[in-house]
Amino acid sequence: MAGREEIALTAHLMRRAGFGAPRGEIEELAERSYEDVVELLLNPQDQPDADMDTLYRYHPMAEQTLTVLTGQVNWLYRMVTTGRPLQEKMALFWHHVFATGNSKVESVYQMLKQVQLFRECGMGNYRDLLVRLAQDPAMLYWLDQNENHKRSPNENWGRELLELFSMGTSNYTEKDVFECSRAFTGWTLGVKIYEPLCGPCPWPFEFHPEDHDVGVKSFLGHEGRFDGEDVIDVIVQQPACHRFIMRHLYNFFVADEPQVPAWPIEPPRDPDAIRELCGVFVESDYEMTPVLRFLFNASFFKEAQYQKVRNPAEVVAGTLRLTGDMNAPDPRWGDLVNQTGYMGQSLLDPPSVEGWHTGKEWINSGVLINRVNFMADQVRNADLPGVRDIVERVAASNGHGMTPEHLVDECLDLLGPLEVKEGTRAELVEQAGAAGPIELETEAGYNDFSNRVEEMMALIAGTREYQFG
Amino acid sequence: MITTAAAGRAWHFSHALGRPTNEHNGKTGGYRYPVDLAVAPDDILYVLSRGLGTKTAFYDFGRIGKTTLDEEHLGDFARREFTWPAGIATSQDDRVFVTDEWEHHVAIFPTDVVYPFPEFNPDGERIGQWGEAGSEPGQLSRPSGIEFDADDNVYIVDSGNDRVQKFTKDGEYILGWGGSGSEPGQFDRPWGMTIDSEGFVYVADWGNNRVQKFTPGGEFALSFEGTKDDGGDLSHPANVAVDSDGDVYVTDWGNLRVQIYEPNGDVITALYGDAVKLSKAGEYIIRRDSSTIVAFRQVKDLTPMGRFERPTGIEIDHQDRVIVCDTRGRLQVYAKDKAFVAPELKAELL
Repeated sequence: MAGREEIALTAHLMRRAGFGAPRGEIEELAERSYEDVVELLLNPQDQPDADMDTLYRYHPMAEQTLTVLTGQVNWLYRMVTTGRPLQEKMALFWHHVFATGNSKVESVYQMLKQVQLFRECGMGNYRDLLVRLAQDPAMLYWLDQNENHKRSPNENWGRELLELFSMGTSNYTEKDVFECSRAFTGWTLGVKIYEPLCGPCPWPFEFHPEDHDVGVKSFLGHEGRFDGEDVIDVIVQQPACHRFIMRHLYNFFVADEPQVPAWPIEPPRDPDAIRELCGVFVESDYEMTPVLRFLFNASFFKEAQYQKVRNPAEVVAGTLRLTGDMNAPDPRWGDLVNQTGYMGQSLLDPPSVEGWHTGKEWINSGVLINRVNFMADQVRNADLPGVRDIVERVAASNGHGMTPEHLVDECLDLLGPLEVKEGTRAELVEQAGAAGPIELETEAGYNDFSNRVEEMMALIAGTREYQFG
Repeated sequence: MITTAAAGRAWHFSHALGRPTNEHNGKTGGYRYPVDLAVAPDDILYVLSRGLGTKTAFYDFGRIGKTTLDEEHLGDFARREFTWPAGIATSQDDRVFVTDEWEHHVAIFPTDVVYPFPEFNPDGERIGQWGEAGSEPGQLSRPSGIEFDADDNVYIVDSGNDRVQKFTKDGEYILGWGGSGSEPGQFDRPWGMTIDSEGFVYVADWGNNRVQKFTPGGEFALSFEGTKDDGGDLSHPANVAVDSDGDVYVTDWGNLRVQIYEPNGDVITALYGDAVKLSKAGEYIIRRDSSTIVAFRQVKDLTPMGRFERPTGIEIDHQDRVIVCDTRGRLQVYAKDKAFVAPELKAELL
C-alpha cells in the first residue's frame, strides 16, 4: 500500500495532467513509480479512448451538433470518461491558448473539429500544430483569414498569431504583423454550406495561389518570399516564443501566473522553471511530449500542490470523476453541461481571442456559489458510487472508534489529500460532532454517520482550499 | 440521375425529404435527429425524431412527423412524450407504437391527430402504454427496434437485456430469445430490426457488428457481416430492411453507408448518400434569403452534403423504394431498378 505522500503526489499529478480520479484509481496508480505514471499519461495511444460511439448512439445531438450546449456535451463527456486524460487536458490547454469562439464561428461542428485537432496534435510538435491551426477552418473564419487578400491584407490572424498564439506583445513590430499577414494571403476556406439546410458539413481549407502575395517579406529580421509555413518557421525559432508558450504551460499545469496581458511587465513566478522548460522545448525541436515529461517530473511541479485555482471544466469533470456520476449517456447531460458556463467557462465559446482569465479570476461571489453548490450536490448524493465508496472508506478507517476529528481528517484525506487551515479544520470538527457521538453499530447509527460524511464533504467542497487543484 | 448499380440491379437516388428543424408545416419541415420511420399502408411516413435526448426545455424536439413521400409535411404529434424514442411501427389497426429506451416502455398513439408547430396536447397524446423496466421475461430494458408481424403481434429488440421479445399488441408476452455475447443467437446492445414477408426476423446486432436473421420462433438462421473485399465489415449496424426480392439493406451506422446484401448474405453493393439536391424544405429555406442562394451556388463540391451522416432507420415502401433516416435531419430515398442493364459504351468512347 502506497504511503500518504505517494498518494498525495499521484493525486496531484492526476488533477493537473487530467481531471482527477477516484481514490481507488489513485491508490492503484500510486503503487507504481511516479515516473511510470507520468509515462502512462504521456502515451495516450496505449489507453482506451472515451466510448464516443455509445454517446452518439444515444445522443446523436452530441455528434451532429447544432448548438454550443450539444457541443459541450460532446467534450465534457470525453473529459469525464476518457482513459487518456492528458490528451484531453492538452486539448483544453490549447483551447485556452488558441481561443476560438462559436459566437462568431457559428458552427459547433467545426469548433469540435478544431478541438479534435488539438486532441490529435496537442502533444506533438508545436510548429506543426501552428501550421495545422493556420489551416483550421474555424480559426480561419474566427480571425478573418478569408478576408486576407493579396491586394488588401487583413491583419487579424497575423496579429493574433504573434500576440496571443506564439510570442506575446513587445516582441515584434507593426511591420512584422503586416508582413506576417501578407505571408498568409490566399490561405482561406471554401464556401460554407448553410447548416439549417442539411445539417453540418465540413468546411474546406483552400489555398488560392492567385490571391497569395509572393513578394519579398521582411519578418523578424529575416527576409524572403515567405509563405505561411516559412513565417511559422521563423516564429518558432524566437526565444520570445519559447518563453511565451512555456509560461502558458506553467500557468496551466503548475501554478497561477498573472493574466497574459501583464506578462510583458510582470516576470514569471518561477523564472528558472520557465528557463528549464524552454531548454527542453528547443532541444526537442519544439516537441510537446518531452516538455511535458520534464514538467511533470520536475520538483517545481511536484511542490506546486494546490497552487492553482481549478478552472470550471476541471471542477465539473473532476467532481463527476470523483463521484462516478455521468459516466454514460444520460438525459441529465442537457442540464449538467450548463454548469461550466454558470461557473464562467462556456467551453467552445471563450469571451474573446484572449481566452479566459484564469487563477483567482475564476472566482467571484456569483460563480463561487455555483461552484460550491454543484460540488456539494454531488458529494452528498449517496446514490453515487464514488460517494458510497468514500463513506465506506471512512467507516472502515477507524471502526467503532470514530471521532469527529477522525471523520474530518479522513474526508479531507479522501477528497485530496487536502490540508486546510487549523481554524477551518476546527470548524469542520465542531460541525461533525454537533449531532452527538458517532456510532456505526446500528443501522440507524450508520445512516447518521453516512449523512455526516456526506455533509462533511459538502462543507469541505465549500472551503477556500478545495477551490484549488 | 445518380445511380448505384451492381448484380443486375440498380438504385437510383430519388430525392431527399426534410431538413434539421423542429418545425413542421405544409411547405417546410423536417426532423431533429431522425432515428426510425414507419411506412403505413397508405404510404404515409411516420418519422421518429430522437430530439436532444435530454430533459431540458428543448425536449419537445423529439416527436413524430407525418409526411408523404413527395414531402408534404402533414404535421407532428407526440411532442413532449419521449425521453429517448428509439423505434416506431404501425399496427394493422392504424396506431403508432414507439419504444422509449430511457423509460423502458412502449407508447401508443393515434395517427389522425397532428398539431401545428409548436403546439402539443399538454394533457398528453398517448392512448396507451405498456412495458415495465426489468430483465424478467416480458420486462424491458432499453427497448429499441420494434416491428409488427403479419398477425399483428409485435417484436421488440430489448437492447439492454440483449434479447428479442415478442408480445401481443396489448403487451402480453409471447416468447423471447437471445442473451449477452457474440455467439450466434447472442447480442451486444442490438438496435433496430425488421421482419420479412416470410416472417423471418432480422436484428441489427450493433455491438457485434453484424445483422442476425432468425426464424419467427427465434432459431438462428444467418448472419450478415460484410466482406473484406467490399470496404470492410459492418460497423455498428443500426437497422435493417428487406425488399420484396429478399435483398437486405443494413444501415451501416459506423461506416456511414447502407450495405446491401443478397438474401444469402453475399454483399451486393453499398449506398453512401447522394442528396446533392436539396429537399423541398431546404429549397424553401434557401429561397427566403438571396445571399444564401448566392453562397450555395458557389459551393464547389456538394458531395459531402449528399453523404449520409449516421444512417439509422430504414424502410422499404410498397414500390420497393428505399427510405433512409439520415441523422442530418432528413430522409434519403432510392428507387430500385430490378432489371437494370448497364449502358454499353461504344469502344471509341472508352
